[in-house]
Amino acid sequence: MAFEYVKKDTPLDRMSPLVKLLLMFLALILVVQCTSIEHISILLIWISFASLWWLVGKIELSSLGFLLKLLSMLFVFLFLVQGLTYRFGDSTVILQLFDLPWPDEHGNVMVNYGEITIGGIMYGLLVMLRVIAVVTVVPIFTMTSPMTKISGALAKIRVPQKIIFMFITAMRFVPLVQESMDAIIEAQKIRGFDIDAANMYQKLRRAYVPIITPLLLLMFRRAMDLEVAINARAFGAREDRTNVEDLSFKARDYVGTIIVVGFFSFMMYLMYFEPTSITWVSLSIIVSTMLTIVSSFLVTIGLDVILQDLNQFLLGLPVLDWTGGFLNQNLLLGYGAIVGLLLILFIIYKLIRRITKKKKRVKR
Amino acid sequence: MTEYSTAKVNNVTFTYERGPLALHEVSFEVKKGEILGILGANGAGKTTLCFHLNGIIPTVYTGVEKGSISLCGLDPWETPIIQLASKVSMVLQDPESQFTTTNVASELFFGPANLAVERDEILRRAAWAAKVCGIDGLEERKPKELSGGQKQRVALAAGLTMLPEVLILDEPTSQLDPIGTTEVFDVIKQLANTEDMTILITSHKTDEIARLASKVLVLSDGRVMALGTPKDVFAQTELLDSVGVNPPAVTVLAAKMAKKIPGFQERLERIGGLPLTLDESYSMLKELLDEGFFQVEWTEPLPAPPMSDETVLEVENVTFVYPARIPVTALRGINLKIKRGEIVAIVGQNGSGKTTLVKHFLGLLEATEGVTKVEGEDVSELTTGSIAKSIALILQNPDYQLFCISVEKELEFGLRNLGLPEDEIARRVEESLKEAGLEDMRDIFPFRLSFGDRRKVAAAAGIAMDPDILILDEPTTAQDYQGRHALCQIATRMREKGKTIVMISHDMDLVAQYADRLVVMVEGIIIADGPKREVFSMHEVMDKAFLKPPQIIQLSQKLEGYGIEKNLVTVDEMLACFKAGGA
Repeated sequence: MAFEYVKKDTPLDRMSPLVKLLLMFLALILVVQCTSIEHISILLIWISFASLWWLVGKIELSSLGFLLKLLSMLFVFLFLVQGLTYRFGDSTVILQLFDLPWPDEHGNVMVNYGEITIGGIMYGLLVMLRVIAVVTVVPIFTMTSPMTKISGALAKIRVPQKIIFMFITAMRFVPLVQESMDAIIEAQKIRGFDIDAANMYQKLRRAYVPIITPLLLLMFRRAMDLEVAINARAFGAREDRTNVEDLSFKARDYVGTIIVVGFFSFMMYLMYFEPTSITWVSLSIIVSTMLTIVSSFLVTIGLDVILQDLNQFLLGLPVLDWTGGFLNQNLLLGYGAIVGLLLILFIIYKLIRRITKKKKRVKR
Repeated sequence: MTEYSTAKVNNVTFTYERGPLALHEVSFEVKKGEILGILGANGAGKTTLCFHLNGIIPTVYTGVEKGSISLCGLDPWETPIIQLASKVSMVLQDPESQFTTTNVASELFFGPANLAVERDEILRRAAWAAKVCGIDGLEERKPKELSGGQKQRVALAAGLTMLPEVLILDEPTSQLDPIGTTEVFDVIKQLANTEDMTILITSHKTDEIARLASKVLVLSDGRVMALGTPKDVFAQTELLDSVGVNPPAVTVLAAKMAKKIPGFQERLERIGGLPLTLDESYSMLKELLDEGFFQVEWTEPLPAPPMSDETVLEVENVTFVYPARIPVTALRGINLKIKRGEIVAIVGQNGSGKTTLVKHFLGLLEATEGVTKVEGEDVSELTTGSIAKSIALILQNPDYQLFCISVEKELEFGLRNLGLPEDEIARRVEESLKEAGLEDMRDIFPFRLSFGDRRKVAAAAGIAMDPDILILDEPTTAQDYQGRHALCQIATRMREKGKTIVMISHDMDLVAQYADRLVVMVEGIIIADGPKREVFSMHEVMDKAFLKPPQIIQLSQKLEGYGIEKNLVTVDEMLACFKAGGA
């Protein structure tokens, strides 16, 4: 499971969870304030600061794997939506996906929502970085602090016992749900119910009933049993519950707090006292240079002609025509074709994967 | 020994809200330092009784109550549960669901910390409890990194750290292997003797109860059927049998001998009743044999029914590694052939790879190395759905698979997955309902049934698939004496129809009685494989796998010098060998 504590004995391990909680809290405050493209640099610095903590805490990047996979979908979506709709900043069009001019009240076409602009991409980048800035600090808290310490620390800042217990139980139930789910899927498989073999439509229509129903029933039963178990062990008997973990603030905790607070103040200083538009300008230069290099590279190896031909070919297909000019643009040399090509490659790759995957046969 | 710390239950009658009568006029008394064994079939009211004593009733569950309870001078109905909890600690049946925190150490701290015990004292108690229960060194483990047996030990240790005056244990050894069970019972005995704890324990393992308890209470349908010293209670073998409790095998043997051999009854009365433990039984028989009161006439036990030479399951050199942060090798080069019509038992400790191996048969796991073949076909090439036609696995926990609105629908589910015609489905449902004895429950929502009945539903669902091979995963878990035999008897009847049965278990009594062949696994390796009577004689193998042959086998081994030529597995086999002496 991602985010689960594993004992590693690093300085972060030994640090009080309160310091890490503070880091998380400050990350949130910072992100809330970063609302314009100029703040990209601030977010980048903050993220590199967070990755330093990762290094110190010896947290594996792979633990974020699942989350990043999930987020990458979000990021692509963000880039597309922001690129197409954000109409401030640099309005250089880098790619026209389709043609959707939007007239204002006077009938003048000011914006075309089929175009992706540099400003839009930059804004997408900003939103993405804001998400990353928060996501990267969460494992610093959860993966280096054992539950006992977290609960102790929360008790110390006078969070009520019941809320702490709810939090811990939630953390305990997450892997439990996962395990039960796997066990249930296996149990239904041996009754000839093969969810992997069902197609998407079948899955959505009925396949989850045999899995979700027992899972819910099981979890209710678990919750009931847990109530018995905590009552049997005197939970809530005394207000002054003993904390077994030693939670007194040590030198390293003070150092940690100073670093966190110091760095945050530095960020604030950069944000409000230093003009950061330089960063924005330099970033847009980098983006345009990269685009130029790519297109000149395409021209040199003669791919541009092929792409244009492909573009024409794709446009010739009657089915693709209805997209309202999805590939119909001559701007910046057939980017539509690039997208189309990538799409085709992806489909071919998927097909090859499916064919080469060992096909299971039915038993006689 | 003060009057104050006695548990006293007086005429308690209890009915659950919207539920059945659970206890009916139950009365008993336990003195300080005593161990009370509570016996009874599933649904007899054992757990309800335990819940009464630590205040779970009425705090969590409510109902109508008559009678009075006094516990360490407190009335559980008047005292808040949290105040009671400092005097009385209870270890629940299911070790999984009572894990309240995220690792072993914090689990041990949880109870005393709630009571605001001082920090140093908590640490001292936790270290002591971990040592006593044999889990020291596991403090950093998470629940999922523990085996079922280890979890059960943690649960016990967590109860101990509260340092209660009264300790209530609800089936504390249901998931432990035989050696582990004996260890835990020894710990319990020691606590009663040295710490002067009063212990109430429910269990199906009567041989251990007979060995340790100072008093035994037998419940049936919420009523007290017998109460007294183990000697008195276990002497009533017929009564116990009728309420679904099986006395220790040696006691049953002596009782049956008393009926068969004239004069033995009087003899027994003179030496002080039926023997309860293996040693008692052995020394009694030895004395009587030496004296010539008995004589042994070797009677060959019935041979295992013949089976065909056709191999239905074949495992060749299978190695399996669970992928994880630290990969775990669960199977190491397993070779196994199972013939059609056999009953094979795979035995071994928790975590020895039994279930992993079985999952390979079904194609749920794919071997890292090696080949698994079902009826000659390589499992890795088959869809799981089609393997389900020839193999059925009856899971330990039926709750993972039951979801339908009625028992009948539940059975139909698998058959529909196989795509059978409607009339065939109806026929098979009818047949398997009958086979499992569930005809009266066909319209009930499975979740309302007792655990034992839910298992039967799961078993019926498996049988309805009409498999060639039936696999029982731990038929004993949370099952009483009758329940576990019911499942095995279904399996035996299936075998008579030419099916192959594979059983995973660490209940040696059951394995000895029903299996033909034993496969012993330790840490992913098969260390012994052969006919059961032979395997039970391999003492080294047994020790290595933390197994203990059942009482009758141990007795027959001890009596080898008197003409018992082979390991005998059932009471009746043993009984057939004894004749009155002096002829």
